[in-house]
Amino acid sequence: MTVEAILTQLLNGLTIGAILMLIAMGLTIIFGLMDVVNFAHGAMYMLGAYFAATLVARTGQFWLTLILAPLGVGILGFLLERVLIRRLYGRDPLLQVLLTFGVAVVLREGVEILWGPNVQTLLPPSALAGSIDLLGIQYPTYRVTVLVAAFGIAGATWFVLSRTNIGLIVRSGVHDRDMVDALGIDVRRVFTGVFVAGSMLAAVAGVLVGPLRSVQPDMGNDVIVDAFIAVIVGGLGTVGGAVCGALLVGIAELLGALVIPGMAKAAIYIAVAIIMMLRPAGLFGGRRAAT
Amino acid sequence: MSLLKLQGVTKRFGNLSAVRELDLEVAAGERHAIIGSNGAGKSSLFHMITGRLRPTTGSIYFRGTDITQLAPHKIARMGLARSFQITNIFPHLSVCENVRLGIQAQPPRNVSWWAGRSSVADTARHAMILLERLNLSNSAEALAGTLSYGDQRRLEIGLALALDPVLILLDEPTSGMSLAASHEIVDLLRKIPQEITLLLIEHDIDVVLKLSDRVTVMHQGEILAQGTPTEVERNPRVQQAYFGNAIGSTIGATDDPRG
Amino acid sequence: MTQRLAPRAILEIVTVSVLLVLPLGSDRLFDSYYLDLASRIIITWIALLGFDILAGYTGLVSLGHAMFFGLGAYGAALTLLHVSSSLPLALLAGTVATTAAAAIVGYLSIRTQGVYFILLTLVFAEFGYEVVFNGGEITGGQNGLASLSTTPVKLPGLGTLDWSDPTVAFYLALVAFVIAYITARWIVGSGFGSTLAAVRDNQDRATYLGYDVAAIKRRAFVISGTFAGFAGALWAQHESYVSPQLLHWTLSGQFIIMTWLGGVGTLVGPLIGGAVLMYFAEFLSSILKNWLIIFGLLYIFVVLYAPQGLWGIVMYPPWKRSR
Repeated sequence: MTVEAILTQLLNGLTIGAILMLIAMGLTIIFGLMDVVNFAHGAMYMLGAYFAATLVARTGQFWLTLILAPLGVGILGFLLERVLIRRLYGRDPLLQVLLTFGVAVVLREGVEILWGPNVQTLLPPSALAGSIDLLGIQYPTYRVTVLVAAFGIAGATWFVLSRTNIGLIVRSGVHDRDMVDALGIDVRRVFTGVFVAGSMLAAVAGVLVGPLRSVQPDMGNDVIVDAFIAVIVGGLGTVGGAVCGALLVGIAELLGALVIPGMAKAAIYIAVAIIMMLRPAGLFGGRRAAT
Repeated sequence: MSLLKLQGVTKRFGNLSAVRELDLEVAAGERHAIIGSNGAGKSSLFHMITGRLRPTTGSIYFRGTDITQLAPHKIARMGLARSFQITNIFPHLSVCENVRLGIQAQPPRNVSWWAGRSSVADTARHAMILLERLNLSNSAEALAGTLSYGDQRRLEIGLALALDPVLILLDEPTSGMSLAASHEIVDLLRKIPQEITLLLIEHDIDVVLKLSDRVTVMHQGEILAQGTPTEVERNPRVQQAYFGNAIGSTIGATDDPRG
Repeated sequence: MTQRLAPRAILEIVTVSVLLVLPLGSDRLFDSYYLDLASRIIITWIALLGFDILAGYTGLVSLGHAMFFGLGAYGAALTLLHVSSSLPLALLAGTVATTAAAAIVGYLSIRTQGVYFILLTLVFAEFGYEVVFNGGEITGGQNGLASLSTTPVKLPGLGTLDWSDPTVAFYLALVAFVIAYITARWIVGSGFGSTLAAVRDNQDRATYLGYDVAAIKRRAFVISGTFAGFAGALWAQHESYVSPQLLHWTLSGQFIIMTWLGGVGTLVGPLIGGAVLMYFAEFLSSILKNWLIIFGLLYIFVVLYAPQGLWGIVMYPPWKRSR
């Protein structure tokens, strides 16, 4: 195993982790603020990829798609939240899991009906073809772009959360929903906004990952478990935790594939199970311990 | 030997001491009330006795056994029942099922796979008797969650009674009730046989006076005074802390304040 | 008691009666393929009984139920391939292996609550799936294990029971199901069953009544897993083939949909849901490959507006309900 091979896998893991990070951030805030375990989140990621595939195929504009596809998913997320999700606020969290699970099933089947079961192609912009010199190895330009874009967006999200009024409201809401309500802020609008934003983050991840992984109807289901793991490991409700969790999972998966091919994922799952049993609040202590 | 004994019990949450070096003894058959303003540590005390919280230091003995580190369900099995200030019943089960759960929790009518028809009938019979005493017979088949507040409070106490316990901890049994409803609860509690010891937290002084033969006054995690209701009423330290000299101001302090 | 028979009793009697004579109609009244479908539905019923005991009666929704189903299937398959082609042994091995796994997973998972519990069972399920998927030679990897054959049993004086005969297979499933159903009814009706309701409704109060809630949950988990494993073992023999998909959490998801559609917490409800879903799946898959979307939508409707499911509506129609 050469240093180049390890480095390449590390970067691959980082890339996948970066994608996962965008998904996990949305997932964790949605849970932290609204107590919703959003099983449909993987479907948002999938729809982002599918919208992008269609848009790029029609228009050939990747960068425009990177903006339009998430917007489309955002609209869908808006409708979802207003029509379905909000009916279960304050009720048994179990019902929310059940509901979002149902939504995930419907969306997955719906996508297969509309687009067919075959893999869709999503081509990256030709400008990003080829590879560049990175840390002494040749690494695909597109992947580097993904890294830059993902971290950039994550950084922007972090900025919004920590430096703006809206971010303050969201963070306070995660901390104490009723207090925000008492301050006269329409909590329901915040919920909708957060759900839409989270869905859009997942959609962006879907667009970015499209050229790297196959765009097919099961991609939502395939990613949702990893997303939950990232969120749990980091701590449900903490964005920083989600980021760290996602990167850890990504790197662990790909480096693990080098060391114990085939069983890497299984080993990760066992490790996560142990963490969940010993430290249910996650490595960085989420808002809620096992309740 | 006292039925319940607390020795040097302390509970700290970080820098905050909810309960400080508390010694308390409850004799069998006693009707013992604990009063004190909010934050005095009364609920923490109940939580520690029933195993919900572990004392930071100190020991708790029940029927001679050290229950300080015992799991809540094991403490309950020893005959220590509790009712809750915020009604804690089984809302989606019928009133009768609620009570049956309490009855079959304890030997000899244990929950059992092999509960034969006779023991099931036996449990049902006991349930109906208890419901009579609780004045809830008419609601036997109703879902507990649909009951009125007063009925739910009675069921709340009924669940504790169903265990056929040796000691019942009653956490503000009349909480949130009108005068008339409170009287009903007091009547109910008065009818509890002497073999069952009662330890209750109460804010309503009338209830305390009517029901208890001993009172412990708590203040900021410590015992301020202890004695019969009249003794405590007249205790100047207690008067100063709670009654503002309004009640019991007729005669001056006759007892030395006990700490 | 001279009361009218309860609706449930009627349903039970009618169903068993119809099923008892169903094989007679095979090839005469309907295509024999439907007998095969019926067998598969009945085997799935056994798994659903276990799922409802845990989810409906105890209030614990596990995404790992499929894992136990698949484990039972693989346990039976491996026994048939490497140990002996005796069906009873394979069934026993599959079931026992699953019970043991359920005991371990249950002990570990019960320490968590609510949402964390569901996610932990999901993690365990994924672990199980990965192990089997990447099990190479031992588990057949992503291709699974096929050609599982069983030796016929000779009954002196009565002939031979050839398990691969569709009619024999059907009656095997039916007998297994009836035993499972009677067992499940007995469990939920027993003293233990009432403690499940207590744990589901208010586990805090149950603790302070003296119930060892953790132990009750563990027992329910093991019971549930055992039912699933038994069903899985039967499935392996019936299909003569096992694949990693049998362990995938999305199969657990189908159990959830079947259970909630039919009526969670009634034992009968999930059976109805399962039968309806599997029956229409066969019907609809030729017309609409993604028939699941219809059930997904129905399921969402049920979760939001009719959580008592189909059977709940039959038993307590909105105009009769006192709640």
